[in-house]
Amino acid sequence: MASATAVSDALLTACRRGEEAAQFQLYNLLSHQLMGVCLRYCPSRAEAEDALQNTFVKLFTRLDQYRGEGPFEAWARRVAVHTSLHALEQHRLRHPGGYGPGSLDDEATALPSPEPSALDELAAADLLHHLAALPPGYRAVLNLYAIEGYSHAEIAQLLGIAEGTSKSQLARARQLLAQRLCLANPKLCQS
Amino acid sequence: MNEPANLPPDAPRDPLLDALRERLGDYGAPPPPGAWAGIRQRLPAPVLPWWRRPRRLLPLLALLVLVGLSGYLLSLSGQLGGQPAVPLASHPARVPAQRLPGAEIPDGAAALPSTNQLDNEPIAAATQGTNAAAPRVWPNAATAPTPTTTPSAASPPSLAKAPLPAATKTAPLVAAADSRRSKGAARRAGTQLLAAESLRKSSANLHVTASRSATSRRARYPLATAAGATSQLRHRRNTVARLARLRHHVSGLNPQKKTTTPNAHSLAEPTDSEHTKANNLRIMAAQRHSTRPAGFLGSPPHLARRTRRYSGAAAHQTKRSAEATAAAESTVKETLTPLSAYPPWPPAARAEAAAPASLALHRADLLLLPPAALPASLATRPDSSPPARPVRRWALLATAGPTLSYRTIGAAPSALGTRPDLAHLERPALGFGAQVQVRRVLTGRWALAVGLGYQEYATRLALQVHDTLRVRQRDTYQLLTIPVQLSYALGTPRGHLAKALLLGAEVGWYRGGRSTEDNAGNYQQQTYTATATDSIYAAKTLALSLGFDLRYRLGGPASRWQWLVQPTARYVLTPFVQPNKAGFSPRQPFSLGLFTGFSWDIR
Repeated sequence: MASATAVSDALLTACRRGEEAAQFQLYNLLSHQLMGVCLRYCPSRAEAEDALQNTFVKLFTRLDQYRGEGPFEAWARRVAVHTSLHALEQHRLRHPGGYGPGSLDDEATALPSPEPSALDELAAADLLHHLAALPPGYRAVLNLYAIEGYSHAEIAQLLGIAEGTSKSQLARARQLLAQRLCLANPKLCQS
Repeated sequence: MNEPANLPPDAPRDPLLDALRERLGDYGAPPPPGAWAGIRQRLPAPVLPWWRRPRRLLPLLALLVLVGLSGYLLSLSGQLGGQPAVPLASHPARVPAQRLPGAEIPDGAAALPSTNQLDNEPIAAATQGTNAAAPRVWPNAATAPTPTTTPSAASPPSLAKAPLPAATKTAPLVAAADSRRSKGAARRAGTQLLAAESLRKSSANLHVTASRSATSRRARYPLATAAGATSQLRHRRNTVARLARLRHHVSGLNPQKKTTTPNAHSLAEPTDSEHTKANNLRIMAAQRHSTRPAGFLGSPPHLARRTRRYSGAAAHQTKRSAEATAAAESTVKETLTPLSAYPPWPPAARAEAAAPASLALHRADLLLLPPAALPASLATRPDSSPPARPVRRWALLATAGPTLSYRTIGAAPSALGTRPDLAHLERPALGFGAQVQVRRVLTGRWALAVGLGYQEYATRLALQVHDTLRVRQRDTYQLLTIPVQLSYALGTPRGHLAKALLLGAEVGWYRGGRSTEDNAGNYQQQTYTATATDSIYAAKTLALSLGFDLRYRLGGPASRWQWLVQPTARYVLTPFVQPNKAGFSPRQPFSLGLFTGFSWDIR
């Protein structure tokens, strides 16, 4: 997950001074990647766009909190993850009861898992589409664990859940994703 | 397959999750086109440089006021520069007409004597005729009249005629006061005319009565034309207010528009930021919905409805505002016949008046914005803590610079009798100061510096005792000091520059100096040493200092060297002249200095 972008100290200094050109340059460097992060967590594209805006507002207004420990891109990505989780929580509060796994588990329990190598044939957008179809809680745990690299303890602390809950949700999310992939593309599971 | 870079430590290898990480780890998506505009709109204004922030300028302004006040006080005493010699004749005390051993003969106008030494060569008064009979001091040695051209030269100067120069000064002062009054009136008139002109340009619906003849009349009779301008200004204000009331009244007549139509003021003066915000909101909403793929993570119906509702409300508000404005304008045109003589509103002003107040858009904007607070878990992360303070707390400072020093002085001692008190004729002079300090950064913005210093306060004396006798002295008072200065940093250092306020106290030991004394008409400079037992000056003094500390770090952030500039004012609080010394006026020296030097961070 090494980032190709390089944010220089001079650019960050100019952003701290509030120079609009520097801020726009930083936005151009990071917006593509951070939009992908927001899309993986938020329940809709509109909310992902809002989360992206909030992420950049936080980045620019709290730039002094970045102390130069580690790459700036990683810090920005972490801010995007937290902002997206906050948006997810707000969405959950506005729509209570809409996030149970429901019958999704039942409808696909009998299907086999896809071969990991077969995922290469699947476009990232399609994969993201299947990921977005997961219940938000499952999706958050799967994203945090499998893609961001958080441990179960960190996920539990971040989401305010028990560590065991994080593990069980990850297992169910993995199973659900695999079954959805097989349902959508039976060829992935035939090999 | 390679080992994933960010695999959790407690993660068993899962091929599906590994594949997911590889495919989506670097996944990105293009941001929406209007995202940057929305971000930019919510960002605070750029951080202004310190010289453009009024709060940061306050210490500098305070220092300028201090310097200006000191200069003003000095000029009030009538002894500030510009007059190289003080006329002893204008002093109430009488100077005996005798030969003055402590005087010198000027050798022409260009050949002035040394400022430090008093030439003790006596002057042959007989060579100067009657003018030498009594000491006469002219206001300015350079412009001192010669015996053949000065009226006073024709008649020997006497004490009865001594106030004459002061009386002759009165007439120019009265004339100057009259001139200042007329200039002030012209300035006030000009200000009022400018205000009236500004209102005329901004209103754009009022007639213009200015003409060349009026302009020339203003120049000739500023007060009269100012009154006329004030009258015009009042008339135009009344007209504008009447128009606003009429528009508001007309819009209020329509019951359907009564609750939603903004008042006349907001109709007439929508701000640019409101236009921009409303336009940005509409553009962003349109772009968001136009660029969103229909089948991809479809937008929730409630959000789409909400955005449509706000957009519709904004459009409806605009339409109703435009209708109200049009109705108001038409009614004004119909009901106010005399106003029809005025030129119509220009298109720009009409379009501005037709813009909505966009109150509903403000509400929509606030509702659409998600809360900006970080989750508690992020706020408590280690990287959320403020940056650490610099570790180098100790520094060594060496500064030096010139000072402009003077003194406050008490009443002349009665022991002088009829002789003038020379101390009252002193003027400011350039002194010198230097100090070496050790500075330690205390908690927060405070720092303390203690060291050893040297201060030389100086005054100068320039007397034209006689038209051929000139006395020029520079009196000095040298102190060894222990300066203790507390500094308060103004803001956080930006780049290489740091600023602080200085407040300090100095204990001083008198180390010697020279002062001119009148020994029965013999103006001689007495030199005192630190160990002199007959010194008239206090051995120990206490002074207060107030200043501004400007620091510029030389080199990179890791450099230990800083260049310092410290404009500092000092005032000796304790009695400078020993109280038991009769015949000397009490004095309190003070100085304004510009110190500069270097600071070296020790550790």
